[in-house]
Amino acid sequence: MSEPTAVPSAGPPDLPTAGPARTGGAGSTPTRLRGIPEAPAGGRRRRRPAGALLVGGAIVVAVVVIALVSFVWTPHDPGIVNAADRLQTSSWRYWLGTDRFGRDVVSLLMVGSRTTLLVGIVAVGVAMLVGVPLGILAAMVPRWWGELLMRGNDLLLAFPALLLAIMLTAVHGQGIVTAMIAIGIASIPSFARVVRSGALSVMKTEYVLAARAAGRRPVGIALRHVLPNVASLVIVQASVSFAIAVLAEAALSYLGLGAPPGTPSWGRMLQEGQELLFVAPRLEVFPGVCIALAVLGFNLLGDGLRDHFDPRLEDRR
Amino acid sequence: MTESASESAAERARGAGVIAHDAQESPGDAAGAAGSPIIRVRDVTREFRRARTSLLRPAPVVHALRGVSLDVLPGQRFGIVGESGCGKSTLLRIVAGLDRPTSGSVKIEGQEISQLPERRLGFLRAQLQLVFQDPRGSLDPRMRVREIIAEPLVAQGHRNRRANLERVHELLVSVGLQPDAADRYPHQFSGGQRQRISIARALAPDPRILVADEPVSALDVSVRAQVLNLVAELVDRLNLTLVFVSHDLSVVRHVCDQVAVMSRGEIVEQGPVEQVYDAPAHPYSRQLVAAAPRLRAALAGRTAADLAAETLAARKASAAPRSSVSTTPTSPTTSPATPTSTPQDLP
Amino acid sequence: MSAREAARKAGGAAYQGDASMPPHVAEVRNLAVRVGGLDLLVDVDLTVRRGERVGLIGESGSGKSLTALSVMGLLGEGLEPSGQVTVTGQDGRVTEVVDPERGAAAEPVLARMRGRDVAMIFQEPMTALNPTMRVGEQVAEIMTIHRSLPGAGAGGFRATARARAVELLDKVGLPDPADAAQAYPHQLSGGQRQRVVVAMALANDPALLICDEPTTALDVTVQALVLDLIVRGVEARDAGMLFITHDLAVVASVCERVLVMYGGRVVEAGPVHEVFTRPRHRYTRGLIGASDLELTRADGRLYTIQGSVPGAGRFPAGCVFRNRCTHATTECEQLPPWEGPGPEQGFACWHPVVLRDEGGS
Repeated sequence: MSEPTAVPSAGPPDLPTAGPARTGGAGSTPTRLRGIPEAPAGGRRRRRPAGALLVGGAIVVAVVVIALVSFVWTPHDPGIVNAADRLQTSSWRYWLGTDRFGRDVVSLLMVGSRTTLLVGIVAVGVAMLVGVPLGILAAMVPRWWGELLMRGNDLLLAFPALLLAIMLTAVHGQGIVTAMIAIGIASIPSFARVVRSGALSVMKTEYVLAARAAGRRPVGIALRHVLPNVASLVIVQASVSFAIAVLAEAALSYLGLGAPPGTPSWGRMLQEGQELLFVAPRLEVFPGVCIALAVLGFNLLGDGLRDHFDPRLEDRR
Repeated sequence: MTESASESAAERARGAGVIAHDAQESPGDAAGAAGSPIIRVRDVTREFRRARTSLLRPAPVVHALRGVSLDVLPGQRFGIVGESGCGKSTLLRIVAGLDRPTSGSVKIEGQEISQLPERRLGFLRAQLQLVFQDPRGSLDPRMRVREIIAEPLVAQGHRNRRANLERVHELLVSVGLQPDAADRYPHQFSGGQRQRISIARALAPDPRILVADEPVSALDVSVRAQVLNLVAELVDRLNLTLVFVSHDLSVVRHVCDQVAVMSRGEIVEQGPVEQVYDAPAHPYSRQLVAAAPRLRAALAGRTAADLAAETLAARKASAAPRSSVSTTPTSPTTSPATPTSTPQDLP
Repeated sequence: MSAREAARKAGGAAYQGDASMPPHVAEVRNLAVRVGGLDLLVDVDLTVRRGERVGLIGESGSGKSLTALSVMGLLGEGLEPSGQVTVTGQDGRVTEVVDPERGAAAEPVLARMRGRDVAMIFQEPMTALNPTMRVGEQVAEIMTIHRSLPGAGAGGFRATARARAVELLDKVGLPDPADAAQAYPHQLSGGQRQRVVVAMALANDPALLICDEPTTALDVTVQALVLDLIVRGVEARDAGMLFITHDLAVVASVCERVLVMYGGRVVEAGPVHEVFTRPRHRYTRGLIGASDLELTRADGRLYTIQGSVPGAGRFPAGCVFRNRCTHATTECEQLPPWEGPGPEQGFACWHPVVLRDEGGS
């Protein structure tokens, strides 16, 4: 074989190729097509506006804005009972009409959004604060301990949230805080499970092994490696749990367990509007639509955030 | 208690049915090496308990390592060759202190590490670093390159960000990358470049020992040549001890001066790489050498049929009772220590 | 040795237009694949005849896997092929996988062809097999899908297929084939799984077998045996084979002809011995040098190709290799023409390796 020309070896600096990651396809084709993008090049893929993110974000922002605005202005004072104006249909004065107590529906909805947001955020916050560390812990301790923790988690999961809320209400009295905490506790197990399974796969990766080889302690690994890599799972779970929390609050209010009678909440509006369903359906429809929209918005936002933050890797084995 | 590496070959062979060529004269030993091994592994076993498959019988045990012993001298380039499941990765992890052996002793620079708790292994982390096989999986996708490379420094207490960043840039250049790579994420690099980043990370704490687990197996051929050259250059320049694990005998032959051949949890043959390659004594080593397709031989007319025939012939030879090696497998296990006995029983 | 084999061994050209040569089983002309404006494959010409074993060599990003998928009609969504790809089955049935005017053929047409006229073996046996289906069932299914076995109606058909499946498993060397047929993929070793995949691929006696790195994921001792199995299987059916890999030694052991791909193009082609001992294209030369671990420079280092493979769609205009070639000049900004008697032999390089008369080892 003729002598190959002496080609200079590695030494000249390699410029990083800011392009698509090496494997293409989300596992849809059997071969790993190395270097072949499934969609337009990786850089472009990130910047393409994520529909979910935009729409979800818009809805969530709208709800938040309405809630904030309601602190300074509502078309009418929803607290005032005005028997004379009860059950009016939409008009210039009362945009969506009034309920059986003469309260303006729009104002009720606006103020009600505060409750919804509050309950959703606090409940999810509580669940995350407890569930995420629990999940990570269960993944990093020796297997038996982890299983034990998860069985405890299962117990909590099996416990009906509603029953929990009722119990807490019986102890602490009715109130929105009780409702939030009850829903929060009931949401812990889903976070713990999801985070644990995500953390387990992170713990199996070579980069965690490399971190151990570098001398990282378990706490360092949990914070620096596990947490960021389960973040996308947490975000998705948070949006799902938020939606569930909103619905749970509605259910509790409907049962008379959530926000006290004086506080407007979408759930309570659903309950109150139920009897008048055939007389004034809008009293039921509008709060229902608001709940549905809020849930949709948070779900979409969660999806969008997850995709947005996912480091442009198609599939991680 | 420094034991020199000149334990007799017979003594080692007694230990594990090993064919050991005398390692004293192998080239590549650092000039002036005291002769005391920097890595000393004695009779290491590792058992894993699998999940129970039946309520009545106890959980099956996997004998990943069955009494492995080896010595690596300072400055040596020691290769470990074996196919999947032979235990080489398990052995690496035990040597690197990432796993504990079920029994046996592992001494790094004279210090016994096999029973040390994680918090006492700090010295090891500074002296011994690893490069892994998978360029994708061994770098945290959520961290920037500079954080990845600086991780050993941070984890070992060097918190000065400025100094760390300078070191990161220095390391990037020495592995052939631009310093501005520091701000990017791993996915923006190709496989070969990611391996360079891996190497840079391994060199960050200025270790004496570099352990590489199949570092080029996942790379393209031309990239492999570059990375192998890089490793060779760095090992030379920084006077490192290299332990190189691979399933590819030709890669190990190029890189290393000593090699140990592993099969099913045991070292079956050890010695200078040329000797093991040109005149493999153990039947398994013969199989390995026979089965590897070589370009020159192929061009000279060695076909796939020849490859298969030679592999089978070497395998049949291993089925014959081994009269040359006097020992039996060290632990009574259900599976034989040698490759399968009948030609029909194909993998 | 037949005249055909003699001609092959001699490594001569002039395959085209020779009526005594065996017919093409696969013919690729001017194949190009684009995705969203990026060129992934350009101007690929390739032919495989009955009984011929052709190798396709290249590294990541060279387009070799894409070429194989194009012949199978398995390109993913968003990938647009153009040019002409024709596959001819054992019974003479012709499928225009890619038509110059109409583009890619419709799925039903392709589905009829796949598994019957042309079959493919992928790299990862674990993902090629359905983990929830017994192995024997999977082999049998290939035959029942294509109704390639004469049977006594629906009931008898499946039974025949199952029996034949056990036969095939025996032929590929699985011990206790009847038992093996009842096993699930995870109960078999990697080598055994790949044997099953080979059995499935050859079950319907395809005219063309495409292998994409079939042994790369296997242990080397297993690789030798599986390679031999594949070659024997192809020879027994007088089928053509397209073998894709990055491992030069494997290609040299298995194939007669080879094409070298880089940057989505074919840069060199010819008989294996010729291309590997007297490479003309600079990339081929560099590749051979880099893969030969026994060949080192004076300082003990391996020969390498400088730089790294650009990302998809980022190859330079003109000669795709010029940004890494030490012999590149301004001339290389123009696309080099193909120099050779035909697509089966030749190269495209402005500054090819100059052959010395006593070149070759």
